[in-house]
Amino acid sequence: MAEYLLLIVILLPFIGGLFVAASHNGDDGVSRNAANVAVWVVCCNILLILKLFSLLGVDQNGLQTAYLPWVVAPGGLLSFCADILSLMIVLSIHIAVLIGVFSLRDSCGSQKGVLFFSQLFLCITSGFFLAADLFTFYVFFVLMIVPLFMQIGFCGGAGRKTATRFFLYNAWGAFLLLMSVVAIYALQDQKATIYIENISEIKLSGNFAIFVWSGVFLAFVLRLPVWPFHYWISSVNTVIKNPLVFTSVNLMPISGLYGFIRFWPAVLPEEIAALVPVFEVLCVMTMLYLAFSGYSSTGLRDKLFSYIFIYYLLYLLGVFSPTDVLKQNIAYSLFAFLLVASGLIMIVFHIDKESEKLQNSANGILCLQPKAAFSYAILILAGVGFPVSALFWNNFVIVSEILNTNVGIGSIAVFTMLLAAIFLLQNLYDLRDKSCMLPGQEKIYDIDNLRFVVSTIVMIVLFLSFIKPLWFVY
Amino acid sequence: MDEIFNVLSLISLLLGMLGVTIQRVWGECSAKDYFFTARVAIVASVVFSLLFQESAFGAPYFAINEQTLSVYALTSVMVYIWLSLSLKWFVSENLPSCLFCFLALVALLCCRVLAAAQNLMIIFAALAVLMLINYLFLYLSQQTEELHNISSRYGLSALLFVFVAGIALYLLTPKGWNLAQAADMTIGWGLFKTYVVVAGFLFVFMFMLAIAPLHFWFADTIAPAVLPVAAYLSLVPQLSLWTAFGNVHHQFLQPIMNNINDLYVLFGVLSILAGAVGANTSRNLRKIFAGCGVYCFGVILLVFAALPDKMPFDSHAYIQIYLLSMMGIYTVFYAFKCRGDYLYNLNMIGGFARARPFVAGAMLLFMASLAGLAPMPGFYGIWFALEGLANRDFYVLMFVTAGCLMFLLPAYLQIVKAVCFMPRKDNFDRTDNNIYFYLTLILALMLGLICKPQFLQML
Repeated sequence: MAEYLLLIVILLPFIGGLFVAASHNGDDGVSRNAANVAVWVVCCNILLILKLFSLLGVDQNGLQTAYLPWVVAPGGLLSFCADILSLMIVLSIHIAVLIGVFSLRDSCGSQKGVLFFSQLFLCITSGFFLAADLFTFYVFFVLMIVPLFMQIGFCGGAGRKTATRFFLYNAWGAFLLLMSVVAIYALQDQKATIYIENISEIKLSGNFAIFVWSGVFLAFVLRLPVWPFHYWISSVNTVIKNPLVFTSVNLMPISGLYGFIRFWPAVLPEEIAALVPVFEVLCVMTMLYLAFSGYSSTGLRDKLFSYIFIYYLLYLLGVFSPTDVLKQNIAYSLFAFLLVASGLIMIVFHIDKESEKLQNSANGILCLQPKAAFSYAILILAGVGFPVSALFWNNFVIVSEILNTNVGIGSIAVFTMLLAAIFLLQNLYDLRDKSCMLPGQEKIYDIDNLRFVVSTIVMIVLFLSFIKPLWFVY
Repeated sequence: MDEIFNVLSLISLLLGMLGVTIQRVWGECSAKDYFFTARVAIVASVVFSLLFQESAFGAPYFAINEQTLSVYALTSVMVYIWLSLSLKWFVSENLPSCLFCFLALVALLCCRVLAAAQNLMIIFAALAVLMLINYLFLYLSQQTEELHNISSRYGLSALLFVFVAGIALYLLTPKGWNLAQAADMTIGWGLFKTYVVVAGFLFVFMFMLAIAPLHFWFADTIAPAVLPVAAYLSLVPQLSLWTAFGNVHHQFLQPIMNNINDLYVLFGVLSILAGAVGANTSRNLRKIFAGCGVYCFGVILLVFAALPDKMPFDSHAYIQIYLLSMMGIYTVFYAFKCRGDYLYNLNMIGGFARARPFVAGAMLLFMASLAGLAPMPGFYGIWFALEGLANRDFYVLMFVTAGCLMFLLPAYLQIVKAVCFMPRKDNFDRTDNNIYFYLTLILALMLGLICKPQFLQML
């Protein structure tokens, strides 16, 4: 049963996407039907993922592998498998996209295209995170760019140019991975399936090994906001005005992170191991840069962007620590983090939209939005590491391991996290500062009840995951 | 009796030509009548060839096998779709279409002969007739000074290559025209004479297949030609030409010239580069896809070089997939219509997806296939081409092939940008049901190919 369920989890959003595309706009041109279909599909898939968790059990390593026959694939099959890590990421991505769809609800005009491609994105990301073999992993790694490209393009304006740059930049990463994957398969005498869990057993030598592993390494790095490869993500984030697209784009770096988790075993290939300290230094430098830029910027979304990527890089440092035990902690922390981030995106986009009505800055705006203020405050507190979510325990473990491995790197990482916490709390204070509020601003609207309920559910989930990370496994 | 059944398919085509001529001479016929006659002849020809064609027929001049029949069937399907779509063009332009239909049937006959021919003289004759048809299509459809000059240039270049191939044929003497014995004839020849013979046949094929550096005519003729002619040049002769080239390569060229694969690598890489550059330097849709075509031909040539021992199934499948995608693209071109004019420039098709989402979506899928994006069928060709190169340790070539595909991407992306992201500028004309029907058919074929890449071989 589990294998069928795995395939359904991957394919259901695609089928849902077709229904979204076929749905009619309302008389006012707003695609409410499409949004409702999207919500139902994602909710159904979340339930299926929870069922998968229960089939998996807390102590098992992985589910039985599921196969999709495709003659082109080496071995003639696309194979999928799930473990706690991949299922946690898939679940959190589904929840993040669901929150993104709820954020869209007061957007005017047709969002059908964006919603269709968000469903496609879910289908592809599920396939990617559940991929069991190298070929399947590559296929979904490449495909992930397409729905995001279309979503960014649909945002219009500067998004059109940015979408092209985004696609090309990420396609180069896919190209490098393709070269490595083809080279690895060419080495095999029999065209059999190469499972990702056995990837470290591939014996390559000399320049060939450097060629292959550098390709894999760069392919993943290009998906992450590490200097000097950060250009695409910063340029995309500045132009997107759509919360769902913003959420989806900010989920993209997880593919690079996940690639490192899967490909970078505790024992690194010798050829590339020498580069890891250099890369760690690049990571913390980028974290520092992001922290200072978040601190100095005035825009809400810029601060949020800095916060999100500081934490991605923290996880990356965790992945590079010479132990496998952190994987579980990274999965739990990432789950909570994505919930916090998507919740914050929903509220920040609302605040941003309302603040456009103000003549001055947005300071004090939360005084007029009690529901948004409450949700925003709780999510910020959870986000900066207060003991209200799984983020607290697991980040603690990750940071201690980084400190244990390299005190210098760990200290800088802690410092950047502190700086991120400061600028988020400062921002919260500014937004709630009554003294900045000018009279006659009654037209500022609070978040609607639906979104308040959504953010409340997110808070409850966060709190439950603080008590027991896998509380939903029955 | 068996012999009559064997030639029924040829007779159908000849009858088709005769029917069109009779309609022209004695009847007051409209464009619809000519196209109807031509399409009936094509359907009858395909049905007869699939039902009655025997492998021994025509030996030793022809070799009929499953591959030959599948090439013929696929080419016929393409000609049928192309004629159906072109009919609207002739009706809306109110131009005579008798010669057009006649030439289409002759071209199909030549394609059929080319795919099965085992004799260099027959191949030469079929190539020469195809060149003449290309020229006539250009000449008869010329509406501008530019096209007049281009058709003249094409005619002169074609004459030159026919002349070179004629010299090669003369040197071989009639004893050596049979493909199976042609290589033996050259034993003991001097280097110069051998090179002249190889160059004669290689260059005439490269010219017709638009392999760089002899690809110059391809984009030049496709861009200004009227849509039916551009579609013909891009789609119809390619599959048969590649099949004939495969036969000549494996039975004749490769045995007499050991380092011919290196030559293929050189021309293949040149084509890949020229295609990628060409596609990116134009805003004319047909030129962009002509560039993509030159790139794909380069990849096929590289597969020939990488898998020298047999007519690679991979390259054959890749050609079919390329043509199917291109067929889809040209079907979409017939839908790019505004106030009766067919649109060919990127600036003219802004916001097309908002007006015709299904057609635009189909175009995206065809382009994804051409770009080698998994799981579209085009990925299959690229994957096996790269794997073939990697298996022979041609890692640099593998890198160049995939790298140039990356350089092709901006060309595809600017089309996507225009079609999907730009605001709608004009009201596009209503899309014919024919176009929807054929797009659905091609998409269904593609779906079949995704699930089972050998699908086209099984037809």
